[in-house]
Amino acid sequence: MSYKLYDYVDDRDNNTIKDWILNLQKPERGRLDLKLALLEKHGLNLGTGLLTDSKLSHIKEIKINGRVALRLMVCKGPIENDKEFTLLFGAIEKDRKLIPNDAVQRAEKRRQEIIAKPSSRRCLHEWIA
Amino acid sequence: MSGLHNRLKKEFKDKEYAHAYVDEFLNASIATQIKVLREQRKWDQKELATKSGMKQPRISLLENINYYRWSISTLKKLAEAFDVTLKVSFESFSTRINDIDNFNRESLEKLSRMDDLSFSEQVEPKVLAAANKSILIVNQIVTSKMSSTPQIYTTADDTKGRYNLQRAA
Repeated sequence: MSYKLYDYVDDRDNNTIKDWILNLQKPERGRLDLKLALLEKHGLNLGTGLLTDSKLSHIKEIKINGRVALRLMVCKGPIENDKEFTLLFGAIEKDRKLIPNDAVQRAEKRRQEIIAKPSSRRCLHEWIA
Repeated sequence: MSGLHNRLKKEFKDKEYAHAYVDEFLNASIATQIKVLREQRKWDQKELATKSGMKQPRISLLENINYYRWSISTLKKLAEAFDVTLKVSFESFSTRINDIDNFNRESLEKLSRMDDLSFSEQVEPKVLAAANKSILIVNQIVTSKMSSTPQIYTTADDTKGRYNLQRAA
């Protein structure tokens, strides 16, 4: 079974996830793309540690360790929890602290926006080729 | 070819991207295969830990796709515990793309040595003539890749005695 991946879109129709990914270094983007491909193809059914918990129960993190520690906030659903994941907010981690420090809360706010307007506040994940 | 396959063929033109991607896949595939092999044998982490001479928290760490400090000696211990072999080799990117595209539980499961090696033996019918001309004919057919396949015995004898033959377990 494969899953759908979505990117959060802001109120000006900007795919903020795509913008964040475009600003990554190529090795970081390579590592992230592998994890997103696994998430899309297998969800959480195959490997352990693809998504890790955050301070909020609905928000999970994809961790990419490298020269810069990346943390991409993700949620299951939020419309069809068994069939999709949505990429919500990109952050970095330094000295065990998230930058911005309210990244998880911002992700949750976006998740709520998508629940309120699913057709306009997200789009299918745009792979950068 | 899948969308992923086509996308990777384009993306892998960039050396930095390609090496980082496959490096991340290497970590993920090893960790995932350890978990899959353990589940295939219906062991919990504690049991795998005991069989490989490690502790359960270490197994939990090794099964996490974010783990990256692999050593061949650790992988050898696990291979012995699972009773499989370990293969370490260099690979071309095109082959690796196929591996990534075909990455699933079925491709990761491996039979243990005894279940895997095919012990196939066909014995010609043996005719044994006893002193009083009774004849015991034994047809033994063993065709098994899995140990659960029964052996089949057919006997015919007379008053000389009874032969107790059991089906293989």
